[in-house]
Amino acid sequence: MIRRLNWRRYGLVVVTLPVVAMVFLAAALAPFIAPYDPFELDVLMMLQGPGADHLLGTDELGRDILSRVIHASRVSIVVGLVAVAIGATGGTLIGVLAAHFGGAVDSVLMRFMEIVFCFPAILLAVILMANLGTSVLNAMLAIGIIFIPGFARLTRAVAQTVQRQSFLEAAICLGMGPVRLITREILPNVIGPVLVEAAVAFSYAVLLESALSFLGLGAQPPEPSWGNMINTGRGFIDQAPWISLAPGAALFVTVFSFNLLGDGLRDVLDPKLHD
Amino acid sequence: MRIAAGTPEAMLLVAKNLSRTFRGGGMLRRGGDVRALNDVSFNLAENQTLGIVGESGSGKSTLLRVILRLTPYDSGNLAFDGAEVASLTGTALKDLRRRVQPVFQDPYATFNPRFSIGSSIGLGFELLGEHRRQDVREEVRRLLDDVGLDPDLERALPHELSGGQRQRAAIARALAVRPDLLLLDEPTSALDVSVQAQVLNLFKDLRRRYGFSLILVTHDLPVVGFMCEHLLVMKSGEVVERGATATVIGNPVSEYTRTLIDSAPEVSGTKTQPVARP
Repeated sequence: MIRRLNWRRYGLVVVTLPVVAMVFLAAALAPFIAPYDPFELDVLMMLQGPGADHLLGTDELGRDILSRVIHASRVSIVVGLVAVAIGATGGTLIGVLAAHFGGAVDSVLMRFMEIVFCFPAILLAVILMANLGTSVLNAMLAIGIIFIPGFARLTRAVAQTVQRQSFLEAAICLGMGPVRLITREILPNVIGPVLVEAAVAFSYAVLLESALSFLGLGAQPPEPSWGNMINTGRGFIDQAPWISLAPGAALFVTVFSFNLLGDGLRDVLDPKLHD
Repeated sequence: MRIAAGTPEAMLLVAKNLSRTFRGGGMLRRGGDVRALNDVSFNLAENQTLGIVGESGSGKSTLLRVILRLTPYDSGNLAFDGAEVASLTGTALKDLRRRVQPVFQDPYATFNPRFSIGSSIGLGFELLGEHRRQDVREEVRRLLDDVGLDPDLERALPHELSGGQRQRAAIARALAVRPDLLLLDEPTSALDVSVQAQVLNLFKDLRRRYGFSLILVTHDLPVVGFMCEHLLVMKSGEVVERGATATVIGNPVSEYTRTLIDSAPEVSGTKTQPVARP
């Protein structure tokens, strides 16, 4: 039996998931779908406008922009995934522990998180990168660390409401130990909001990575990344605006669709919204 | 004053001068302390039913949480089957957990929304050491049947059940470990009147079959009249009156108890007394 799609619940995900899937596919299949080698120089063809040969034009060294935008998505996706994984795992662990044990554990953990929170994200990333050295790996680590306090606060708040529910006290009264309490009673109820936050954080990670690359701290040229491409295009913005516009548009679409996917996931993961 | 005859050794639960104070105020505000329990003493014999009534803030829920060892007491003694509750550790604590089970007020928060009813009821068996999935499942189905629910509801998620059904399922979860003492915290106040009566009758019926002692905390005097042989009236953390339910309701000594009786809603032109005197 074919049931009608519940648009209120699944609509956003149905619309954004293909876009997100496309970005992932482009990253995964970059060498196969990119029309040119992203590193291939062709000085005779430099600063070409969009046309039949080069769909999105060429840059100051005659490299194909479309190919570079496609290849650059790999850096963004990998940085996004790893940074969110670091932030979500670390933050969830800290938040759940703070909520469950309360008291001094809670105070120490959360005060530390607030200290990390005090620094503007981009500044903290720059400081961390300056100490760790500029590389994509360190960018992931820096962005991941920046995400930890956000996830910690979120999970702590959610876990605290779970903590007050009587099903948790019922579980305690059945003799359940702290590890089992956290894994069976608390974590499953925290995972929904964390996933939603993860989708939003992913888009923010992509944005941050681009900002770091733009500042020359992330992916190093000639390795293409949306950030360093936008930065390169800055010098040619009057003659060849497409050099910056193309990676900018890719960045925009990716960030936007991941944000919407986050909203959509919230609706899908709510067990109380009936089909 | 002891509620029932008998030596303390025969008592399931003995509370002596229990006190619990919540520190008021915070870092910036210096507020007054709240004495949630003030010198509370009572005994509960095996197979007895005790009702605790009082308005909101009278300390009755705190008393319940103290007995469940969900919150500590500051002073006094609380002995369950002869052992001090506060000093229990390891297997002795596990034993207390198994023998004392709660049924909470809010039927909406009483089950983890992510797991099926059957899975949550089955937890009790798991913690008893029964892990064979098929056996647990059969026991869960039998329990659901015992509390008057369709055994197939084991697969349902909590939000798919009505408030009354959920409260029955919560009773099934509590009974899974065969407790000696069941603590009910306003078990019917979130349910509508017709369902209330069904759930109360279910408790009576289950008590005959399973044989457990019962402490019922409520602000609803008629419910105590229907359910409990003994009654404790609490106000501001203190016990103001105690005795056999019929005696207390029929002939209240304290001013406060009288107020409680008078403020109980009239049902078809009669006050609450007829319920207590069958």
